[in-house]
Amino acid sequence: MSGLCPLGEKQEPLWCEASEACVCKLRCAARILRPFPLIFDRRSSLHSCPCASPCSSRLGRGRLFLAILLTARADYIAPQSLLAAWDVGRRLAEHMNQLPAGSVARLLAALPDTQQPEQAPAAPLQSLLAEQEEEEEQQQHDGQQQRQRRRRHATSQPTSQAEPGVRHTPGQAESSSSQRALGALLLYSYAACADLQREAYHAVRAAARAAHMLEEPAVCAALAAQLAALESAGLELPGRQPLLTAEQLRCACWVRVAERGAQLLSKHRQPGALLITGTTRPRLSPAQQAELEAQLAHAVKSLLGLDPGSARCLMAAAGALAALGHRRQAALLHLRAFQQAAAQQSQYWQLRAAAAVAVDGCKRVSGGGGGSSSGVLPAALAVLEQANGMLSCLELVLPDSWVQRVRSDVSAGRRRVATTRAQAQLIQAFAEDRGGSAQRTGASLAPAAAASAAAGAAGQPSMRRHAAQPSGAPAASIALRKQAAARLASRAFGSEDDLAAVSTTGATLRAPATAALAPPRELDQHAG
Amino acid sequence: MSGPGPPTTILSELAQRHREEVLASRLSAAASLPADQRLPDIAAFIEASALLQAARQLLPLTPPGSAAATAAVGPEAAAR
Repeated sequence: MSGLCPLGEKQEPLWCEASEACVCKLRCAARILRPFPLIFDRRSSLHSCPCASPCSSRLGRGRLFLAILLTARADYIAPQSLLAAWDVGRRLAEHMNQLPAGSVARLLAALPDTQQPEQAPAAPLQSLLAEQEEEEEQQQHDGQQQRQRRRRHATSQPTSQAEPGVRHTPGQAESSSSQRALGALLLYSYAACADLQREAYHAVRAAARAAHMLEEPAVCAALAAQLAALESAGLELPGRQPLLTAEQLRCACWVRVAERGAQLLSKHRQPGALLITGTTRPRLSPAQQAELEAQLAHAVKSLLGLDPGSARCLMAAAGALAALGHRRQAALLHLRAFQQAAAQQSQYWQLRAAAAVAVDGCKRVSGGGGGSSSGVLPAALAVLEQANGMLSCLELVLPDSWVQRVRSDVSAGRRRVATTRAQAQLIQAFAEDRGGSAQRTGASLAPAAAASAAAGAAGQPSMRRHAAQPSGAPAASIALRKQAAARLASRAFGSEDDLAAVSTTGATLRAPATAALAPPRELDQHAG
Repeated sequence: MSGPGPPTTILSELAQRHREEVLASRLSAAASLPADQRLPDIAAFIEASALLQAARQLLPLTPPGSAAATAAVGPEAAAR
């Protein structure tokens, strides 16, 4: 196994290929998340042994942190979801105030600024802490009440005993010490705070259940051996860890669960993809698939509730919805993601969302009702047209793995636009009874056959009947043909505006631009 | 770890070093932009890189993925 990634990836070092081994890191993140229930279970059993608990909690936090980082690094989460600075805590508190764990949020909001730690009142913190403990007491079971008393006792102790990972200069006032202790509780860990621990436990356990379906036994065994080695080494984790709250953790976990689940379901429903990627995972049982779908639905709710303004969360939620078969809702989320990305000036998400909008096609978005996509679709297509320049800018300052993912999405969007444009030309040819026009598009079909082919290409078998009706009458007038073509266009594109948008924009995305948008040869080889 | 390995390993290390250099150059290019002119994507890249660096310090792992701390505490453990 020397020279190989211990997590089972071939020749994929865990750390050094920070930008390139995107897939490896995704898998590693999911696998690192997996043993967390064991860690937490072990902690609860070690509560009677105070000297063993800190080491375990620090290891747990380290791994948790590592997992989040790997997840974020592979394909970044919204920047506001990862906070590395103490002084951003207040902003986070504003966000957390809207969450059910209100006591934690208020505690965090009461923390002093880094610049003026002495001016923060100690009494409110104490009362808030007591209030939080009262809330906890109401929720505790009999066995947990014992731990409550122990925690209360630990909080009244000097900081170094309450949280061994915190270092304090001697001679600090008691109030300042308690503030810092409280800050350390929130800044450093979920494990030190019961609320946060519980939140983290449930979030990670749910994520791990999903990740467990994606695992292979050999990989799990390798990871367990590695973690056992870390524990036996008594790894010390010096320094301060960035602030990561339970909600951020939950969000990150659900993002990953949603994406992984969507990916898995997509592959599961398309066996050809399994052959292409060489994946040898066994098929899911009906029970596993039902559980994964339930988690995806939960993921969508969590993502939309936690960060509704984030294009990244919207895209992940859309992926989960699409995997569940709710393509119309997914398309609407893609539209929202595109608008949010444009508003936030995020070229990365703008390109990906534009491609998703194009892949969705016009029909699913407008659904015949018209209006919803009339403004966004042309904008998305325009962004796709300008993708070449935007990608050139992005690849100067972003990792290859990120740029490559955008390129892949843009290529898929471009293909969809080309296909839609071909359909539009066939329908127009049918409407105008121009067999020659259909031939120019590369389909040497009679008008009726062209319309039927367009209907088939649009994935609408029922449209073939519509196409066949006017063509079956040899003396059908041009008006009848146009009427039938309008019906086809309506069914295929939702509205005539969408058809016009695709037709006109698609014309500029023909062969020359297609070649320009294609990924470079070396990237293709790398992807292969 | 000890002496040069097989050619495939050497090539892999060279490729890895090249990728690290490319990544470092992009990171420096991203960091050279003024903070108020950074797109959200660039800011995310810089932030994620900083966090990854912190993680490497918090939980060091060697490139193959084994725990660097094992080697660090090995002599101490042996002495004990």
